Amino acid sequence: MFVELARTGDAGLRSELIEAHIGLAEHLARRFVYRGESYDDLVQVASIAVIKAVDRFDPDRGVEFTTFATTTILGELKRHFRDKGWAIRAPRRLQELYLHLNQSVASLSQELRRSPTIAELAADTGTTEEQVLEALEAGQSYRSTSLDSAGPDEQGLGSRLGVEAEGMGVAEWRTVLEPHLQALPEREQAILRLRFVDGLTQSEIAAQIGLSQMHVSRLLVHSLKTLRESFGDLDEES
Amino acid sequence: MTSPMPAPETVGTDSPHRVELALEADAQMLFLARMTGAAVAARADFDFEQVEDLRLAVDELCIRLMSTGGGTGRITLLFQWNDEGILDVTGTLVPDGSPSTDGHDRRLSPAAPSVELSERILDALVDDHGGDTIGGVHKGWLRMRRRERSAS
Repeated sequence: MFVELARTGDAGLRSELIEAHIGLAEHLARRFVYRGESYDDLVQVASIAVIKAVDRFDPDRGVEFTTFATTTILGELKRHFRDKGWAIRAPRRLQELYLHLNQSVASLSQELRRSPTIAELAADTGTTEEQVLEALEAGQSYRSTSLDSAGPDEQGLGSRLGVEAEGMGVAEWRTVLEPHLQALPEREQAILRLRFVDGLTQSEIAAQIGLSQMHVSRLLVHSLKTLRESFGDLDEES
Repeated sequence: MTSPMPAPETVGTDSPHRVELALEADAQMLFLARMTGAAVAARADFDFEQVEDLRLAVDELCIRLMSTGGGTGRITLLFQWNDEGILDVTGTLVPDGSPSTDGHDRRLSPAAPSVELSERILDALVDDHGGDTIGGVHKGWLRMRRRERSAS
């Protein structure tokens, strides 16, 4: 049918193909339903992604349409969360500064070959130390797609980082935390182990995983909060 | 490294720079502790990574006090640092005797999994830490040293 669509551009055939794959959109949208967005909104985002996938699919490339469509849909869903990622409404200036700081930390770390100070970050971003600190705290309420691990690109990450390898470094850590760690995405489990068992710094973890240091910091905060909630140490949002 | 020694005898009695913060033992108020910790670390000229670590450590210290203390009360945090780059944080929780709002006794035994986790976290984040309970008052402290800057 896709060969036929590519050849004729038939609108009826296009609609038929879109409708035939809406079920895939609904299925994938369901995976994101507990992240603060309504199911209907997510299905809408995913359905638009199906349309894009149908229009962009090239049957000559030897890839199954469902594989192509799944990647497209997950990408759109992740982008949706990234664009709407502020869990708590922070002032726009803080959102922008936080994102600016993300770049600044990376560039200054490279330039200075060490972690920058708050004063250096303030100078680099043309703000004050107080504003930098305020943005960093506000940034912890930023809920990005980094907290998800739904994408096919992240499959096998645990193995790559050794999470599933024999032993986690400290047996009791594993024994104590194992049931609670299961509640976390694979990547967050790995980051916790790298930071608190292997003793890597945030920047070392960032380099190993391919994320920014601020991203690692945010994931650590989120992981610890989830663990504390799992242990019953926290009853409220903090 | 955990030490059972109470904070006042252990750290920072002659540090020239001091900031005190008192707050309700409520998870929703801990952002004040984190922000103060970050501000103090910045003032002590710690780098960004250590500022982020201290933010996590102060959070952990407060949660630990609240968990071991149970119920409700007030937390007092004393931040002290010197020009040599040693920063101490001492936390004290004085319970007010009323039960926690969920009706459960949230005090944890030293062997509780949550305490194990807390120990592990603080081991990784700071240079030294400890705590004790004396006369119903729960104390915890941590120490962080400014990292040397080898490159610039």
